Amino acid sequence: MVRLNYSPLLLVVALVGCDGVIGSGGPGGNDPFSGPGGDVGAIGAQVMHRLNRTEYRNTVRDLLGTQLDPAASFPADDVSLGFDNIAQVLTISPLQFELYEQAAEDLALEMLTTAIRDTIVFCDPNVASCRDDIFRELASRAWRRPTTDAEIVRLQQLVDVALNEGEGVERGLELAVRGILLSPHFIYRPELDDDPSSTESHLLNDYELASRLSYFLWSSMPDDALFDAAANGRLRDDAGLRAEVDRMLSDPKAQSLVDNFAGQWLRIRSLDDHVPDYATFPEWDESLRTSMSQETKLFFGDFLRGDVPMNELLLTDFTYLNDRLAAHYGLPFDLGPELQRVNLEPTDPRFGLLTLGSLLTVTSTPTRTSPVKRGVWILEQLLCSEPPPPPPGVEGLPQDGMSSGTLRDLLEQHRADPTCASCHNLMDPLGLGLEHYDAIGAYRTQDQGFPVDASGELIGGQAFADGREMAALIQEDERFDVCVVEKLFLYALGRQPGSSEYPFLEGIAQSFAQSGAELPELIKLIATSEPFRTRRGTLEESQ
Amino acid sequence: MKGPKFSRRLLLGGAGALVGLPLFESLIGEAAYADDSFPARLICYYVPNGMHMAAWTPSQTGSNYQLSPILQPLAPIQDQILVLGGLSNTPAQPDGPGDHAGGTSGFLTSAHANKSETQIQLGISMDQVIANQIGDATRIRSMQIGTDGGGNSGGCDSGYSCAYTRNISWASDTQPLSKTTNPGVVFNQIFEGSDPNASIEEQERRKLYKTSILDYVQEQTQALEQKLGYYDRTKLDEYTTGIFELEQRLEKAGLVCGATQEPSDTGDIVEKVRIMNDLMVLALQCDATRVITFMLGNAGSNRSYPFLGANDGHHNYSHHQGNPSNHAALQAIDTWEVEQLSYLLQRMNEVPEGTGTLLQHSQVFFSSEIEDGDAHRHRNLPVILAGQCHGAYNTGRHIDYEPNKSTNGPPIANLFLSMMAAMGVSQGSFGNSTGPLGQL
Repeated sequence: MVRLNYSPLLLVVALVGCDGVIGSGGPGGNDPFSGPGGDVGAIGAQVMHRLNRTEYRNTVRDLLGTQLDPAASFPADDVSLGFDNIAQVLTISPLQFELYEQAAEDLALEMLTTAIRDTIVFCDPNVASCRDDIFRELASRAWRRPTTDAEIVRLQQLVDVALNEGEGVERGLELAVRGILLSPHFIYRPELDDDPSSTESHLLNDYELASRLSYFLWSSMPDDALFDAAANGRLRDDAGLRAEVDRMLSDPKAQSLVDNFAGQWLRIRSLDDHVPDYATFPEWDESLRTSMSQETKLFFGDFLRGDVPMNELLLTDFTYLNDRLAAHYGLPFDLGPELQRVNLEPTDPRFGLLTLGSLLTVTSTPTRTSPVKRGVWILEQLLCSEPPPPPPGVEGLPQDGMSSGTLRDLLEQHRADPTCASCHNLMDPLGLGLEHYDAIGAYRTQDQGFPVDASGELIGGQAFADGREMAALIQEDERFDVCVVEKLFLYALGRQPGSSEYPFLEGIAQSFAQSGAELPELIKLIATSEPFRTRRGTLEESQ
Repeated sequence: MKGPKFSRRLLLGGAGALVGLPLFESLIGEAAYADDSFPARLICYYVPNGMHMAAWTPSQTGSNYQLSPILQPLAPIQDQILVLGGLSNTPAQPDGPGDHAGGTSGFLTSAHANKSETQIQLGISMDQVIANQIGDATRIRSMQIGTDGGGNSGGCDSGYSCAYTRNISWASDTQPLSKTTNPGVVFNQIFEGSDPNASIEEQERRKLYKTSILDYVQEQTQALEQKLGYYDRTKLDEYTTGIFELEQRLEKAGLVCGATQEPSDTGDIVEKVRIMNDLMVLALQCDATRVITFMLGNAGSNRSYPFLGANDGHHNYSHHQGNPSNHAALQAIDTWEVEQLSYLLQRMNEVPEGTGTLLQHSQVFFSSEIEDGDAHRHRNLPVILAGQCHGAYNTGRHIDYEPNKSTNGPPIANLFLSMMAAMGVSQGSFGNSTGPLGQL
């Protein structure tokens, strides 16, 4: 039975101390986005979602087949809760709006002057009825819903602006396409409430649900088949939704879940920015960086396909290696430059998620491992139990003290201080269990000339001899089951689960565990859940 | 030339010099104008992780002070700067941990951030108070520029949204103004609409087209609003503001400066900061805008500086624990940051405006989100105020407003009030201000 806390009172208490329950990264206990009155079981409020940079990039790719990448020059999206698709913080500054306007113009001009034109302008645009058809087709795909006749008439008026200036129909098309691409119906994913002042939840319409699904699985717009499914009402029942999820997961665009969900949850993306100290690690280079990044993506891919259940994430008998990575890990494989799936023996020092080079590297400092960072990552991302950060003035370790012993010795001295101990007793043992892996993920038996001791004890008293035993303990932790659900739910909806929604998470976690814990099933459980299929209005007073 | 093939904005100017080479000669600034015909301008310059104060604070005050080691790069323009010590920013004190988020969000707001990943609540920043008053005079109300887009994943600071750690300009309590870190975007902002090959008629037509499209999306926005709940309407307000500002910009004269070639981003930080410094000078000189904020890194940046011998991360070093080797690395990084400021100031000082220079008609505020990186204090902030801003400041001095470093000195919001006044913006109070700052 998973342990859950959805009492607001409990949560407030939990925020304060280091009892390892739910920390500042956990669900909001008193947030206005919880259900009305905080009723358990009520769905949280969904704020209108602006396409983030990745979603914009993918959407114009799928809509137009463009060769341009206007999103590359957009400002970075602000990140909250570890993800860059959180609707509440996806704002639009005047600069961002201006860049949208420029992008719309660039994309329209490209579309009308290249081979892309033939796919969009499929009849003679000098004929008004043809333009109707072009606009209906393009706008309904861009806005991800059927258009109204009035909307098409209004787009024709943009053509008239150019014609009245004595310019040709081509210019008119350009203006209409610019309008379509700058429209709030394109930039945002509006979901409408018949009664915006009602906080009663209601089902999304078919197209809104199709968009939620496609941005969840593909970080992009629906394709024709998904639009068809919406149009024919096939998303209204569980079977139809599940069938679409299966179809969509088999599409290459489902790689988005690797790049964007796993890319942020497992911090693969962070590897791009990480710069190990070249003096300490002269062997670090771009080829190693790329290989590590690919390893983690391919590793996660096995889970995404359902080949390996999620409850084995921390203890696997496989990974993906090429020659470079095998040599770096000290594993005797004869592989080429391409990464290949390899079977690991129980005696190999690699055994799953926690021994992936990418994760070990990004949770280190440029010069050394950071057991604290590694421990915090495990608590936060695998157990959803973030401890509060340290009080001011006590962070960090003296660099020159390193010769007096191992990092373990230093951290133990540090934990002798009771104000540090209450939290570091939670984090440090988890990180110290991975001390056999240096700051770029290579295996080592010695650190600073001292033998590595990776043994430890979790806060509950369970002892482990090394990282592998520790991984087994974490994987058995009941918090791990629900944490995976919470992270994917957060990503799927682009918002924090409201405290009133924890019963949904609990139900999903139970069904997931009972079903065999394969990730595609979790995706289906979330996609068919009530919070995913419904929404509600919000009132000013609820703030 | 890189970038999208079809962007008209890239077809500017032909074979001009690269930004960074001497390119200002043909621009405005002929000595024929009286000094007071040049507007007051503002740059706010942010650097992360505080300063190594022992090597920052000059040992003497007044006008005959020796520059400290970190401030040495400012020697060529020491007479144009004020070093201000002892100012505090108490609203920036976070709730529990989160000093980098609190200090950065409070950097120009002197407001207290609501500690949340999703419920963003802060206050308007002083540059935006100024932009609201004087922004209509220029094509761009204000510019937000930086070097780092932000780490690709992971949390930002102790339960605070990254919105608090990556933005210093805030249009309102809830809206951070995201910065661009792309030199090409800054360049295009400055020179947009300045197509020397387009006839007046063509330019008018382009404007009509843009206006028609903006009207169109404005209509859509109004229709959409009717069907949205409270929070969604709030979101849509940001979009509406975007329409409004772009419409306003279309009404303003475009071409002020001759365009040069678009700079490219090599990814090298030294090169990037230099280009951004050059572009900021250009933007002010061309009067494309009068208000700029610049972030040389985001809150608590952990960038390493191998070219300074600082191979570990800046934030790691900043938790120096009193260790001399960390102090040395911090001093190297801090000195480099001040060098970048000095370069900017010297470039501004090279731009003649009337009988003075661009620098003399401007003010540049330079500081960090905290004082010492280990102690995370929000008092005795390291501040440089450069430029006389049309004689508003008696530069060339070090002023210490609170010699007792364990006491909160005057609110930095008082300085902001004075800076607003120097821009001609009269404001009764701002943040936790108690009145304009004395002795300036």
